[in-house]
Parts: sequence; C-alpha cells; structure tokens
Amino acid sequence: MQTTPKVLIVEDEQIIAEYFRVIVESAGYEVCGIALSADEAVKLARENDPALIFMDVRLQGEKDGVDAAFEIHRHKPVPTVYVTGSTEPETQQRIKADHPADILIKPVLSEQLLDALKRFCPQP
Amino acid sequence: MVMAVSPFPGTISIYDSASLTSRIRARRARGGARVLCAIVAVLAGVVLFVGWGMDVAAARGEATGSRSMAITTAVGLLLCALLTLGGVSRRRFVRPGSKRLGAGFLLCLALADLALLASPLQIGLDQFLFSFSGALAEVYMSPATATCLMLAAGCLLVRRRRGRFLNGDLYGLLVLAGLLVTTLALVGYAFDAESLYAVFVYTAMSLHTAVGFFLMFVALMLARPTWGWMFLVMGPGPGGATLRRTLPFVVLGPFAFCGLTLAAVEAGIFDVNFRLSLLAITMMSSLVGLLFWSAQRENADAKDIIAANAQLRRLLHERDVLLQEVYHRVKNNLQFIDAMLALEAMRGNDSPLDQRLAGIRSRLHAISLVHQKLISAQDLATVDLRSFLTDLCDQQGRGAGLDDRGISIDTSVDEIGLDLEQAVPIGLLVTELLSNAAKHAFPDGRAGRIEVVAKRIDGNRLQLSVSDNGVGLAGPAGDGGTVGSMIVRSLAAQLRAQTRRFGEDGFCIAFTIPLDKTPRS
Repeated sequence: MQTTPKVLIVEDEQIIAEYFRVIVESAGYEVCGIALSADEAVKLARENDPALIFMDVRLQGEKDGVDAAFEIHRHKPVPTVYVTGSTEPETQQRIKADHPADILIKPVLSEQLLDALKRFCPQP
Repeated sequence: MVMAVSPFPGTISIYDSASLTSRIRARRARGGARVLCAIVAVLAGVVLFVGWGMDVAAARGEATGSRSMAITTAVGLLLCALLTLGGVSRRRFVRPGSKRLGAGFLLCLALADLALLASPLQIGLDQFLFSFSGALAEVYMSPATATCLMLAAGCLLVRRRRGRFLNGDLYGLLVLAGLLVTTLALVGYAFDAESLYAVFVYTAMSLHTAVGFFLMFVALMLARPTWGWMFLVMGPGPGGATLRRTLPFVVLGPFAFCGLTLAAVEAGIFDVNFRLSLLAITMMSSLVGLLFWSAQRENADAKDIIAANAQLRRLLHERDVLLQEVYHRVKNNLQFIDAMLALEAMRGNDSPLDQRLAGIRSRLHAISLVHQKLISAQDLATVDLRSFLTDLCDQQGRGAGLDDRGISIDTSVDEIGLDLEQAVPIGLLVTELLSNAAKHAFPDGRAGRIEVVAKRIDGNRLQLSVSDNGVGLAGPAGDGGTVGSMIVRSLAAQLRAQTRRFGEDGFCIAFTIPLDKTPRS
C-alpha cells in the first residue's frame, strides 16, 4: 500500500503557513503539521516522521529554524528546504552548515514550492 | 564625522560642538581689544594733553627717570588706538575709508621720522617740527618707536582677501613683530638691561611707549581673532586649547621667576651664580615637565580617539542590524500580503480576478526583491541593477511559466548602483512590461524571446528597454487604457523618463532615465 508523503511546515506566520499548506496539499501531499516554534517543530518531526520540511528561520521563541533543523537531523536526516527572508551572511552561513536541500527566499512563488516538492520528495 | 561650517570665514571646523564656544571666544576677544584700545587711548591722551599740553613732566614719563614719550609718538598711539577701537566697536564709528586714511597718515609719520633720522640732518620728526624756537627739541620718536608705529599702521591697512597668499597671516606677522620689539624693551626695563631699550639709538624707547605699544599690539591681535596664527589660539581644537592653557604660564612664568630671583640677589639672599644655576635648573625641569605633560596629553587624546572610533563602529553595526531588521520585516509583510492574496485567488474560479491578483502578486515580488537585494548589499543602501534585473526576470519568467511556453528572457544589464527610490519603480516597470509581453505578445502558443537591456549612457542616464519578437502593436500590447499601461506611464513619469515605442518587428519600449545621483558601480 502506498502512503502519501508527509510534509512538515515550520513557519511562525500562520497565514503564510496556511498558504504553504494549500499549495502542498493541492500537489497531493499530506501536511503532517504546522509548527510555529523550534520546539514544536522538533516534536512534530519526531512524532510524524515527515519526508520533507519547509523551514522558516525566524520563529517564535528563543530558538530559530536552524537550531530546530540541527536537532531534528541529530535523530534522523530529513530533506529540509529553508524558506526565509533572512539573507544576511551570518544566517546564510548557519543554514549552509546544516546542508539544506534548498534555500528559497521569501516571498516564494507557488511554483518554487511545487518544484521543491518534486525534487526532494517525489510522489511514489 | 560631523562637518560643520566654522564661524570663522574661510575655515572649516570639524569640531561641531566647539563652533559655538569659538564664536563666544571670538566675541570676548573683540571685547578685550576694545578695553585695551581704550586704555592705550587714555595713556596717549594723558601724555599728550597733560604731559605736553600742560607741561607736566611726570605725565611725559620723566619723573621715573625714564625717557619721555614724544608728541608724535603720543599722537600716533592715540590715533592708532582710536582707529582700532572704531573697527572693533559695535557701532563701528570709523568707516573703512577713514581707517585707511588714518593708517596712511600714521605710516607717513613713521616714515618721515625714519627718513629724517637717516638724513644728513640726523634729527627726529619732533625736532624738525617743534624746533622753531631756535633750539632742537630734546625728545623725538626713536627708530624703534617709528618701527612699531609702522607695524601698527600696517595692521590697520592689511585686508584679508580670499585665496590670497599670506591671507590673514601677514596681519599676524605684523602683530608678532610689534610684540617682539615692545617685549624686548619691556624685558630691558624689567631687568634693568639698558642695552635692550636705550644703548643703541635704534632700540631706544621710553617705558610707557613700550607699554602703550605692547598693549596696542595685544589689542590688534584680539581685534582679529580669526586671522592668521591668532586663529590657532582662539579657534577650536585640542591644539588651541593647549595653547590657551599654557601660553600665560610660558609668557609670565619666566618673567616672574627672573624678577623674583633678581630681587633675591639684590636683597643678598643668594649670589648671581646661584641665581643662574637656579634659572638653569628651573628652565630644564620646566621644559622636561612640559614635554612629559604634552606626551601624556597626546596619549590621552589617542585613547579618546580610539574609544570614539570604537563607539562609532558599534553604532554603525547597530544601524546595520536595525536596517536589516527593517528590510526583513518589510519582506515578511510582503510575503504575508502575498500569502493572503494567493489564498484568496485559490478560493474561487474567477479567472479575470485571479489574473488581476496574480498581477498584484508579481508587483509585490518585485518590491520584495529590491529589499532582498538591499539586505545583501554591503552598504545596505545600493541595489546592483544587473543582479536585480537578472533575478527579477528569472522570477517573473518562472511565475508566468514562460519556460513551458517556449518563451525565453534574455538580459543585458550594466553594473549600476541604484538606491531604493529608483530601484523600486524600475523593477515595477520591468515587471509590468514582462507581464504585458507574456500576456499579449505570444498568442496561440507562439514561442519567442523577450529581451531586457539596461545600459548607462552619457555617464548619468540609464537606457532601459524591454523588447519582444511577438505580434507587435497588432496585439493588445499597444492598448493604452489598461491598468498596466497606466502604471507604466506613472512610473515613467516618476522616474522622469523619456519614453519611445517601436512596433514594426515585435514590440519594443525604451526609457531614458536620468540618474540623479552619481551612479555607483
């Protein structure tokens, strides 16, 4: 039996997260959760075992998306596509240290999200 | 560093906070000049009217055993004081023309005296003028006094002119020479060194003449606190502050110390050799102390500068962080609006509305890209047009799915630095034209090419063109009534651009945009 790949969305702006969810679901994927903070992201990733994560950098709480990604990857490597508005060199360096699948700069087009889904999480 | 216009004409002060203090200091200096001029005028007036007019020997200076002040000297000194006072007083009761005339008269007086002394007659001007009784007058203006009078007259005649050599410095040099001549005589009188004031005919000068001219030259110095070297003393800056602090001690210290030791020798407290040794030790220790103090101050100043630089760097970093935060928030808000529009578009199946929402979203993306480029820019203020337009075309092409339709976008853009005010309208302009070309230039699945070219011409103008090899003006692209066309017209007007359209083989629209600021490439 084939299962629908799960996608985790980590984004502190609920509206933006909803927009991502609609795009991901329209492409036939399952959104296993929307996390607003790094701790939530780690928890949801452990519980749902997503096939792909769309990760924002600035999140609610003290930790950011890069911290969350590092913690998730310590347990299990999951392809992570960073979707961020932070293009300052320090943040970019930290993101690259996590070996991301891709980095998308906000605002992102729906085509960019769909393209990322196709590349890193192809439908079975 | 804050650059401020100095209160003193012709100079630029980097000490912004000190400029007001300098102005106050200059006003006080002129006030001091007025007081000194009044004292000199009273002194010369007393000698002239009481000493010579009423024939009181004490007023002429004879009672002290000193030489007398000659009539011409007293007249010259009085006139000099009044002319200077007229120049620095608030009402300026002496007009520039009268001042020059008076100074010319003083100069003639001194020159006539010197000429007569050098002539075979070997008499002074006073002897020439006041010897009608048959006998030569005993008192006359000495060459040293005549020199002082000439120097003072020269000060009154010198005018400061912009761009001239010795502009203001000549005045300072004349004052300095006058102070030197009178100080020699005063020191001679103070330490009973006759050779400094009386032995040679050329240095002969009475005590009150020396005092009068000394005060006169100090007044002349204070009257023009911003000219020549006086600006160093009166003006802002650490050098001026050090001078003001140390000058009184350097001038009066040795004078007072020598006077005291002389008195001690005369009182028999110690002998001349001991006095000389004391002077040598004091001079040496004072100079060494001054050197150490100066070195310490220099080190302290350097420490202050390093601390100030560190603070500036910190503030600059804080500014960068804040600016990045602002750009980031703007971008996030744009993404927020974009997401809401996208969700709205996904809700219904209204094709024309979806198209309009997609148009608005593409404009949002263009503005957002400007902010993204600003965050990446080194100075957080300049957008590189080449990188911006290349990414914008790529973004818009992907958004419109041009690749799938067999339509390519070629870019040829110069490296030009633009600020936010110009980058946003240029980005929106290109977005509208690309959107227009994508919608109208290639109907019925026709493939083709869109070209975006931006070149710098004539140094400070930008030539921007968007062309395609589509159906040209035959299609709806030439329609001037749409919102897109209105936006293009408005943006072109905002950029003060000249617009040209061509439509023979495909469609081309070109803008010549003036770049107000110097292009930063």
